[in-house]
Amino acid sequence: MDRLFLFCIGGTGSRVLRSLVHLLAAGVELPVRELIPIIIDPDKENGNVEQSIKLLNAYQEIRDKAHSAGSSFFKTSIRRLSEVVDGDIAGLSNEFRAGAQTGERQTFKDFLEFDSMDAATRSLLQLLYSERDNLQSDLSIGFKGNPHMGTVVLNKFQESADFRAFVNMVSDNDRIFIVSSIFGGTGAAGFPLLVKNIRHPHSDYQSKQATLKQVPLGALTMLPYFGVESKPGSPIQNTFMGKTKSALSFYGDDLRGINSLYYLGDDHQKEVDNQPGGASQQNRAHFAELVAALAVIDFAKTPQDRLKTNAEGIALQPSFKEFGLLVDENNPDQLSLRNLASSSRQQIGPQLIKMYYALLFAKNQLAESLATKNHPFVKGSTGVPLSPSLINAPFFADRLNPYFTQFHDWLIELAQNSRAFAPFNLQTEALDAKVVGVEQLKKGFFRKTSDWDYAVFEGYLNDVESKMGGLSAEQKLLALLSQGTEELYKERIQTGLLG
Amino acid sequence: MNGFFAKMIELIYSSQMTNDLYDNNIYGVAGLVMILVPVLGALIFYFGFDKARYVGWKAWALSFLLSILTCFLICWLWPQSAMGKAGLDYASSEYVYFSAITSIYSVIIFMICTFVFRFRTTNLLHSPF
Repeated sequence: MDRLFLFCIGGTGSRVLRSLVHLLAAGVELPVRELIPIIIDPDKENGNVEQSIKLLNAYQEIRDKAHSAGSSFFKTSIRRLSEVVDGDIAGLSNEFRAGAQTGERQTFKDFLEFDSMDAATRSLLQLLYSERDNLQSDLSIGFKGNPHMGTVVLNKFQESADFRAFVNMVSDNDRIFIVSSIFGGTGAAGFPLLVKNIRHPHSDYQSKQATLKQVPLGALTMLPYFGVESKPGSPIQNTFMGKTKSALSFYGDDLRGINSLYYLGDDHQKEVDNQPGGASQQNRAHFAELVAALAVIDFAKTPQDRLKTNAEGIALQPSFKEFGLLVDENNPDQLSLRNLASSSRQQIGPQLIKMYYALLFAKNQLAESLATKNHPFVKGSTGVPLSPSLINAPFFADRLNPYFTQFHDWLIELAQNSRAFAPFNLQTEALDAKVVGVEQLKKGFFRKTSDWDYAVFEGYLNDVESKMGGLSAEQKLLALLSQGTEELYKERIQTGLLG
Repeated sequence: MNGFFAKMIELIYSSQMTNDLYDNNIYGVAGLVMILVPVLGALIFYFGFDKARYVGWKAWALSFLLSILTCFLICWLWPQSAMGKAGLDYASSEYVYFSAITSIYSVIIFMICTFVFRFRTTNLLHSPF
């Protein structure tokens, strides 16, 4: 596959994207030449959107500077739509977020140009939309759980420069995936519209009609997996299940152009702060979002012959998928890698473990190793030497180390949410006890033990240094961490994780 | 072998003991000790302790000192004992002098081993420098 265009709609879309980016950074395989995320969210200051954009920028910077064939970290190329588009398209956003669909600080009423409408139309609109909750609503913080507003506003997306650029670029070798939630406002409204605009494009896109009707299209719709605190006067109320039912009924009848549709939700729901939108809407990472990210990967791996559509853009063999877990009945709220089915555990376990140990080494030991020891991986036998000043260089200080912090924060959020997904024991200092539920192999000549320390880790880095020829210092650092953790994983952890 | 090592050691060693050392085959044994002990010491360090925790000069220095000290003690105490059994009586300082000379060779051999062996290790490539 050439490119995967990933539309992430609303706050949930951005949170799923966050999980996907962390998985890709850790080296989880996504079989595409380029991933092109397009975030659609009119909530300009949404905390989750901002967080994902910051993460994507960091990913790109690290990859551009330090990725090499020797590193499995940051392997997948992630590009902005504006970076791959041919020629200039006026108004095209040069960010991961699609350009503004609404004006700044605009009410829904302004957007509709309500005051210029005739009396009959105004009356009809007043019948459909409440004056206080809808017509006077400020669109700059999204639709606050009102998909019937979102459908009107987001329908404009098909006229945007971003959609035009997407249509120009999409080809028969590409795939499209849409991530949204079914129970909120933005995602619930944007998802069916986007499907409609792709499978039944506007006449302006006549030349791409055939491609848009045939290009494999997958989608993930998040069913409720968290609740919101009851807050008098808030536009967001805990009516997620009712909204879900009515949306599902609509999807069943009208969304027949989707080749693979993934349903994901969790009846084990924790209530989060009731924030209708804006910077304060920054929900913590949730295990369901990590699983949703796996749906993107699963779709990318689906064989092409299962993703056919007819000339009308209707999927010939639509598939509908869910995700299962091996939940411990005595402790259903607590998950680790052990609770994943073996295929999922194999898919993400080794990569997450490698990235976690790489971050531990980078944060706790790297400075000392660079400053005080004559290690081959530092002095360089094949590769370039690594200077102690690397720690303060912009690449490490401003990019890689902050990325590791973001990865660590993500793990903490996953572990503290409900359900909690805690693949690592974040409290213990014992390196061999870090992977929850995995007993590491005992090794040693005189006394077999599973204990190991950073000196052992340095040994793995020394082992792989001979493969570091021709790399820059930044590339070498990332390749060392990738290959060193691979050795560590194979020697000590693999049997316990997969056995 | 006794003759070979006698020639070698006497390049930098001269003493009233030399004839008796030769007659009692001391040169042959001392020569083997001054070669085998540092070679064995370097082998143990570079291949038995090829771990990242032993990177640097400290572990190398310890193994170097132990090797040289072992060589020094053997080449001092063993000839003294062997010559005493043969009824030959020399001052202890004569044996210490002889042992010091063999230790110089041990130092050279350990250094040669350092340069040869370290390139075949994973972690100790830059030990001691």
